[in-house]
Amino acid sequence: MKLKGLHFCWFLMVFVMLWGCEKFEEDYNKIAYKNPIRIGVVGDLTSGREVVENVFFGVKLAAEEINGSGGLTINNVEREIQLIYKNSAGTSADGLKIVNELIDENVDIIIGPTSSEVALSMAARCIEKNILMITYSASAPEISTLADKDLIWRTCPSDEFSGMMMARFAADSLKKTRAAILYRDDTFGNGMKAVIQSKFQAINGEIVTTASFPTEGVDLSKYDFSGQLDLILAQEPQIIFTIIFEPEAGKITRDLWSSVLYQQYNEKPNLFLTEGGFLKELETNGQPEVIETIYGISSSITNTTNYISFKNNYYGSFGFNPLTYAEHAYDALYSIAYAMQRSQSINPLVIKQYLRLVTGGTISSDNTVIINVNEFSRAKVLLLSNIEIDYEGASGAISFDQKGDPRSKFVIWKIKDGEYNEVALLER
Amino acid sequence: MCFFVLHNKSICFYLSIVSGMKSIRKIIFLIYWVIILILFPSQILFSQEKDTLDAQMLFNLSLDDLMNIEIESSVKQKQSITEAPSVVTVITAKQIKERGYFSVAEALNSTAGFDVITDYFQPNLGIRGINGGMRSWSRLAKVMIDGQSISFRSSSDNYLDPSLIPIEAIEKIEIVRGPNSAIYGKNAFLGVINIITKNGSTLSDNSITHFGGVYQKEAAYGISTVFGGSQNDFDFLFASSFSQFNFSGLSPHNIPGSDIYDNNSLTEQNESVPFSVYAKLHYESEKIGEISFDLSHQNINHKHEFADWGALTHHNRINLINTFERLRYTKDLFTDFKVNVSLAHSHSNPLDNEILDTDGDHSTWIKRELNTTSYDISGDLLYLVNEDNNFTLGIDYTADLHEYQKFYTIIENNNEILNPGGSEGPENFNNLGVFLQMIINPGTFFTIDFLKKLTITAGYRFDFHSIYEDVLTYRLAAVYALNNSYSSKLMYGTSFNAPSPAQLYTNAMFTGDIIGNPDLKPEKAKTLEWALLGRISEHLNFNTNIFYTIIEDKIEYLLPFGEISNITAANISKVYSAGFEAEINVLFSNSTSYVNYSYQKSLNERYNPMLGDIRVKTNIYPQHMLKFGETYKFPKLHFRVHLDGKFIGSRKASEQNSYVYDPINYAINSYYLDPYFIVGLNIESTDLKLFTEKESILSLKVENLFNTDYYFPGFSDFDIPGIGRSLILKLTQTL
Repeated sequence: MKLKGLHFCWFLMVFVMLWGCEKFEEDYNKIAYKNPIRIGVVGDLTSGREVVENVFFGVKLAAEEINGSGGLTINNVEREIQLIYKNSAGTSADGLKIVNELIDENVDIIIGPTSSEVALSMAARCIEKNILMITYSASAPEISTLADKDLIWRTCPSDEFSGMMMARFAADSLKKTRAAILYRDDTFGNGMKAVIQSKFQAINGEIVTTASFPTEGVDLSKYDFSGQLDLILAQEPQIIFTIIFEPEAGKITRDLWSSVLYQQYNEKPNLFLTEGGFLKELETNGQPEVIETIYGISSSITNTTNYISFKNNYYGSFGFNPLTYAEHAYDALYSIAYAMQRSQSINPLVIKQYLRLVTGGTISSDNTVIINVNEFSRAKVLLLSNIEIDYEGASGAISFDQKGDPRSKFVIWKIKDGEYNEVALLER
Repeated sequence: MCFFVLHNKSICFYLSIVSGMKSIRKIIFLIYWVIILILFPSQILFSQEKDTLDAQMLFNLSLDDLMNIEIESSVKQKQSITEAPSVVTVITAKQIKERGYFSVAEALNSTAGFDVITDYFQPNLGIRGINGGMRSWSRLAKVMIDGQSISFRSSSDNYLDPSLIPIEAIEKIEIVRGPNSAIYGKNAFLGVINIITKNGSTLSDNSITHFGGVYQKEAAYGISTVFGGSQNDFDFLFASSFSQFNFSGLSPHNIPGSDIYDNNSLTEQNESVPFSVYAKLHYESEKIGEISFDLSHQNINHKHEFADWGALTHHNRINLINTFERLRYTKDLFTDFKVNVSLAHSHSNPLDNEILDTDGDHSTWIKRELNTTSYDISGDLLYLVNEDNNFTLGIDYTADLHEYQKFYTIIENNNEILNPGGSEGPENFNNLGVFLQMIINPGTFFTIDFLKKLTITAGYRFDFHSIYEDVLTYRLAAVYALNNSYSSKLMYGTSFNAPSPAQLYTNAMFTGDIIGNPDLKPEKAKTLEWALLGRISEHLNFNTNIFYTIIEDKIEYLLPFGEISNITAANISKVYSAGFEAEINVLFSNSTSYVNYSYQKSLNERYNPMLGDIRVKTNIYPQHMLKFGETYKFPKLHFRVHLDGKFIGSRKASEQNSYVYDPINYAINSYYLDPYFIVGLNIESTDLKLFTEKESILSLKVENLFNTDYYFPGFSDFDIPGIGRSLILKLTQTL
């Protein structure tokens, strides 16, 4: 048998194939950061994966823009931002666990979390440990009134304002007098329900009934809402304030459409959704006939130059458009970065004193230069030259107030013939 | 008998080392008594003749089968395995019988380069490092019965369980690894599995088979028949199979760190009731040629407790029919031409009692509507230049008329509401394929000795499709006969897998469920293979190969991100896969053995919004697999024993489960399922006559002899347990 040569070729080929092919090595694109400033980014992936990942992408975009512009220069040391992502899983216990993990990883600045319930539990620990926390979507009014040593902030508006805007718009613009409330039985849901109820009643509206649904231990994308909906529909409301997150949005519209009571209505009641990234969810999983009856409120003002610029950059980086809260998270990191650059410190107790200053907040100087999105290089030069800046973010003017809340504008949106329409602009 | 006792003792000794479990001894005890029951009346029941020369020759044929048996799947004409320009494994009817296989899936699972997992609805076939993932089942390969595709055309899945075809109707299963689109077009992507059926004239005996036993802890039973014969120029075959298995009592395996499921989370009434019929009528005369009409009816009727959309609802039932009828004509024209023409009609749809449910509330549930009627017309013309050189020109046209998969929610009073999501698309899928193949021996044209041993195969095929882009595929292969015992093959080929209608246009079963993506493109593969095979001695042959495959535009189900709120299929990744496969077959005296080993390293290159372009190991498929089997015949004792084992290496969990495990870093941080080793046993009588002068075959099959705990990757929030020790007693009465 003349197999020697063949065997040689055989094994040579195996050798070349397995040794020579770098395509067979795993590669995760690990990045080396220059003098990293570690910032935690926390989201409740369990309760709204798409929205929270979107938030992560928003922060990531900001970090890449800042690092790509040369990073921060603090006390003549060039430093880059390194993000540490964490899942707070939508529960208070997990939120606390995450804070402790971040403390162990020497992180003392946190962007997040998503939900108010988790934010309140995390806030207590952050206050105790002097950790600066800026949430992008936790909107419960209590967050504004915490004895927080000025450590707890947010870039989204408080429910106190959005709830008030919803009640007013329903009564004044839509001329609705009979309303019901469907709400999540959690901190956010109960808080928002209380706001809407009091504001609507204050302008002579009637809340005919309220119904809650559980949020823990259930998959809300498959939950049967027919019991709550029938309870509400039996009271013949003209509008249903719907205090929900994204996962349940589509299912609620479908259960509503399935309701015999709903079908008996000559004029279908409107749903009025609280803030959230509902559009794609409704488009894909919502009942088309019900979607046309929906109004919603959003603090994403999508027709500003800054938002459009942010959206284009976001799309360029990730290949898809941002959802609500991505811009709030993006602004949170920029606000922190500018405060660091201005204060020449990475100490949260120092940074917090400059957050209002760099965002046109209540103690800002009159002689400031407006800084738009993705202008970190310019801002850094100005700040190093002792010129004050006013960061106008992707979500609009931030202008943190004394409670750490942003100055907010809202749009009321409606889907008509399958298209998203902004029907009103409201300012706090 | 003495040998057996010794043998049995040695098995006991081995088993006690392996596990020391008392239950194993019970099993051995049981097996022992079953064998005794078979052997005790042997003096009366068995024919007294010695193991005849004919019987011994028949037995010996198996090794020759493996190297010289003719196959037709590689180039659509008959060749031996050593000549075929593909990596081929053949499982013969004899092996199916000896090893006690109930389904094609079991046969495939004994083969190198194939990994078969299950969710107890259907097997999910992975090939050479690649698994199609969630709801893929076996769409990476083209599965055919005598060259006719039998996929469920709405989803391009192939059903490989007993509902595919009565196992008794199978003459052999030709398993081609690697691309074959250059001749078969779409879906001959990473492999081709061509089931060659028996003819009435080659059917050794008509038979009825009953089996009963215990699967897991529940009763299983079944009946199957095969009849056939020939008269004058006519030949017919009819086979049917009905069985019921019950996979109740299984518990989903929690993902590490999760405690969703406990000991009370068990499958209930998890019945699987596959039913299949295959029939064939064949006419052949020198003057007219060959005319063949065959039909296949498959009924997949399974409870589905491990459904990714709703585990343990105790309500999900999948009930589908998939049928085809085909008329074929073959004729030699003049002396140099041969023509094949085929016309087939197929149909598939779910039956009325199909129920899909996502939770334990059965007041509402989901109904599926879909319907596909297809017409396939094909013809090819073979021109034989001489014995060593030929050309084939083929053309085929397929019209699939689809009513797309649509899910409805059934509410009070059986009112139904169309679920949202998905998009509409054209209802007619039309594909025109044209191929040209050349098989050339250069030695015919040049008087160089070296070239006389070389055969070149080249093939090109164009597919013009009405929905997705047109595709060109090709192959080039060189087969070199080193000497009478060895041959070497160098092969390069391309292939493609068409997006299925369900991937393109389905709506959502529930909020967040898979929706169609009308922008999907075909996934394409190119593969370089080098095979070396031969017969080292009279007792041993081998078949080895190395392969390197690149898949472009691999279709994967994306977890929702960005603007996407539902799982959707997308052409998102590029896969690099390389590996080595080796098979050895040994025949010695009364023993026939096989052992095969597969190694692969496959990486998935894709864009991740958080991490950029990353390259990570592919999911689900194990890196190492070692499979072996030993059939030993005891001629004087009138039985044979087949023992087989599989070592399946550690494998990466599905991406869906990895997300549950680590929602932040799931793209690069996964958990791995443990490796496992399972052993099966089949004991079968020979020359037993129980009722008539015709042979009765009594067999006992034990699956998972050592009751090993093992798990398959799941796609929801759990992994799927393997079946525990199961026993089946089977009686086949030849007529």
